[in-house]
Amino acid sequence: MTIPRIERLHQAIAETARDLERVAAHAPERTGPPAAGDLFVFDTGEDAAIEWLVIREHADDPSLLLLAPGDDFPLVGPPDVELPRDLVGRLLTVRCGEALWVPVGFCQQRLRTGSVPLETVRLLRRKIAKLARGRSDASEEHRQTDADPEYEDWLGLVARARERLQQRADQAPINLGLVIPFERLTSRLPAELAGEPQYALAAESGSPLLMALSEAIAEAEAATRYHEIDINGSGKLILQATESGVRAVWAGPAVAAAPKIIGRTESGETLEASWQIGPEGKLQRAEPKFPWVDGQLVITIATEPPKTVTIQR
Amino acid sequence: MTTSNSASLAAVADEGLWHTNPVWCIDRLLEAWGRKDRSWVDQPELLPALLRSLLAQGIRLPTEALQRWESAGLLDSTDLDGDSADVPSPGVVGLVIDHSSETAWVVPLDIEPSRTWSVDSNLPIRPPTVLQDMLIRVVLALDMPQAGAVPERFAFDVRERLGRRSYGPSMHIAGLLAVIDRQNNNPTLLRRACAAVQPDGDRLVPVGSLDKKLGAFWREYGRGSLLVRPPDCPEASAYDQHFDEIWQVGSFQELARALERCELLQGFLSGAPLDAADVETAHSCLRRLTFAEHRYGEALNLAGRIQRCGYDSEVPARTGREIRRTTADLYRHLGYYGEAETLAQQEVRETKASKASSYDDQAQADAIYAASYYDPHCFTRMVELLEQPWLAQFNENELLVSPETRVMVFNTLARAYVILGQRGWAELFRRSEEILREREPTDLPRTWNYLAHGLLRQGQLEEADSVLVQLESLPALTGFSRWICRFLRAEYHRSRGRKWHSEEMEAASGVKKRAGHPFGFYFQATARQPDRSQVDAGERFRLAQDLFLQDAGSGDHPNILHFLADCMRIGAAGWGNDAVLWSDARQALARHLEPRSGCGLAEYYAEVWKALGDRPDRDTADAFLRRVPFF
Repeated sequence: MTIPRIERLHQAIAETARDLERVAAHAPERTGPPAAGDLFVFDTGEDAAIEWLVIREHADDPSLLLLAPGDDFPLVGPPDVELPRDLVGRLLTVRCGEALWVPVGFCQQRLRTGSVPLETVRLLRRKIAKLARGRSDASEEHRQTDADPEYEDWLGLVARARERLQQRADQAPINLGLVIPFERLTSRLPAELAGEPQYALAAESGSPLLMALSEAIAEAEAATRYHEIDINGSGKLILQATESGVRAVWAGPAVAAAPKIIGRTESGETLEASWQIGPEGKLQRAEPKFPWVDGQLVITIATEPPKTVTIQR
Repeated sequence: MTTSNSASLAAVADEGLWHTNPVWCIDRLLEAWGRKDRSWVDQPELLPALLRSLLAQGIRLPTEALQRWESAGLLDSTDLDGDSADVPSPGVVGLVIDHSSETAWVVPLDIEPSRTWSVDSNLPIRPPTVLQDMLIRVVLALDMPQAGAVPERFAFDVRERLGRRSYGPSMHIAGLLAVIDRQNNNPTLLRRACAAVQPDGDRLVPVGSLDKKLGAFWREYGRGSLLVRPPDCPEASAYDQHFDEIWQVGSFQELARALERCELLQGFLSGAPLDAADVETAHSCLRRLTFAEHRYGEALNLAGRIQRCGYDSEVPARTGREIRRTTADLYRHLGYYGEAETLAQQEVRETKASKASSYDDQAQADAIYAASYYDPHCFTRMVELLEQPWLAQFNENELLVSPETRVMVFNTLARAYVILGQRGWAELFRRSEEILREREPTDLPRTWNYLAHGLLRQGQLEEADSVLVQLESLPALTGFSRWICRFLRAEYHRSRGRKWHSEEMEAASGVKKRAGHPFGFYFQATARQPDRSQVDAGERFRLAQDLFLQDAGSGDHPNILHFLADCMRIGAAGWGNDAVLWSDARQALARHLEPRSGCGLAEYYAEVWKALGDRPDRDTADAFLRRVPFF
């Protein structure tokens, strides 16, 4: 029985993801700036588990790092290097043709999943150098793989991930401002959002369905975290953080304009939120909600001077 | 927030509505949340949590509603990871209006095969056999060879989850389609379907509040798989774009054709022998049609189909015999005296030959056989069959047979005595009455009707009146007995020389009756009452004629109803002094009165027939009609 091509691709993606989780779980704890051989994982928006391997610093600008994507997709083409298993302990093929430069700050410690020995990095440097000079040392087998539609599909996916990463890296905020870990946010409902006591709970109606729905709502409420920022005494900005992102809420007198809020989309572009006024006019809700990107989000509040807040998960 | 949001759920709707009409509930909830800033702020966070929980409970939501909430900024495309399997697939659903709030709701129907038909008491499908009747109607409407099958062998249990009582016939076709959906194992065509038609006689007409109902369907399910709607109905056709397929049907026959085109009726057309469960279900239908609803034509059709399919070896022989007896009864009720007699005679032979028989079985068979001689006017033969063989024995030992069998013998014999003018008939009816008072009081009206008929024919009007008063005072006099009682009351007044009519019987004119002949009896009696205008009397005779012909068949087989219809023509000609009609009616009656073996008409009417001259004459016509044993 032949497994359809797209299914094989999905299977490979799933296996890669599993391996990656395993590797991440065993990643040695190391602090300090990113170094050659380090592996990182970023949100790329692609349905693929790809690690990004630090090849080297830029010769003229040490604030830039050359990253190359690696995965355990089984096909190896001319621009790829399959790292020796005895050195890395698993299948890891680096797609040297898709390498890119990113700022050092982009590779945050919390996104690091592990590292490979430096001798394997040397192999990669040589390969990249050859590719840059237009030389090919590909075997016949690798050349045949190059024409394999499955391989083309996989490389297309890796290329899209690289483009997305590149775009984000180019637009990455330099200043993270006040960095707040998610755990430091409070679960206590800000006074402006707290409701007055109501009549009996639906769950008390004895209906299993309503009880389940009530619990789901209660869980969603309980999972929300808050951070309050006083804006020059004119009102309060409340950041509501949930599993899917962070939304801003403005609580202030109707006459006071809510401050401009700028965040980023999944692809790294900046985006100014628009304010929706509530039915009673006491609260305003920012649209849209800013998504988590690489486990963090950076919001700039256009006050004088501007304030930047980064929340990290 | 937790308290207020949770409380909002119950405030919006009960569990039934949340299960069946979640989109409506969510819209109401969002509306409630949207009134206060504090809950409005949380809408985009809580809505996805609510939707995920609904999905976890197996409650599906249409893409269209999700997109609408997304456009309103309340939902993010990434909030729900659904696939096509998450689209609602409720099957065929009912649509109802809550008249207090003018809100339309969808009513998903849960159907399971069952031994008997039952429908959730909240549903407006009452009695449950309405569905069975409609199913048979569409199957038989096809007029195909397979219509020899017995779809009456199937029965279903129909439940709903909305939990609100509804009324009217608007959900009948949805119920029928839901049953067909279940029998076909939920085909794609019926995955999300609804009907905007309801029965009106043979026609299918638009349901009320159509726009609101289809709007509710769109709200809860989005794009539908099938809309069954009336033709030329702009209100319904406005929704065509929201359905994959549209059936425009204006009658049961058109609906049947549409179903057949999609091969959705095949599952009901099995001609295989009936097993024990099949027979139980089909026999229940036969009993209902025969004894409860007096729809003799349909019952006979069913009995014929059951016998053509036959039974498998597990079916008790007793059941087969019961069905054959019922068939004989049906032939008799419908006036097919030849067939009734043949079947009854066969039963007598088998009962007497069987080692597993009893006096009770034999007496019953003889009573049915004797009764089959009433229509062909062989009253002496009836007496021969019952008087010496059974009545004489009962006089010696009443316990020889069951009380019910004695009632059969007493009543049948007494009816023959009445016509023959033989003494003892009143005593026999009284003996039946005694048994029934103790054993089965609900069966008393039939015996009282026989008694009143006998008293009227014998001119004992005071006594007849008191029996009829007794009958009329019964609070729950059922259809057939009530119609006969009304006829007898009309006959009583005729005999008293008075004009009288029953509003109930008059109102029924022009409508196809479940059984036409009781109404025929009534209209002939009122036609013959004094002080009626010639036009009124003529119209009543014509109505009676039509009613007799309603179940009389084509005339290929001798049927006493044809004779009665021709009697009405002679009445109309006599009362209307219509020479042409008189001549035609006489010729027709002459054919009925030709001497034939096994038929006593010629002998019975010899005298009054001779009196009917060439010219129309009301008195001789009345004398002829007076002689008719049914009047």
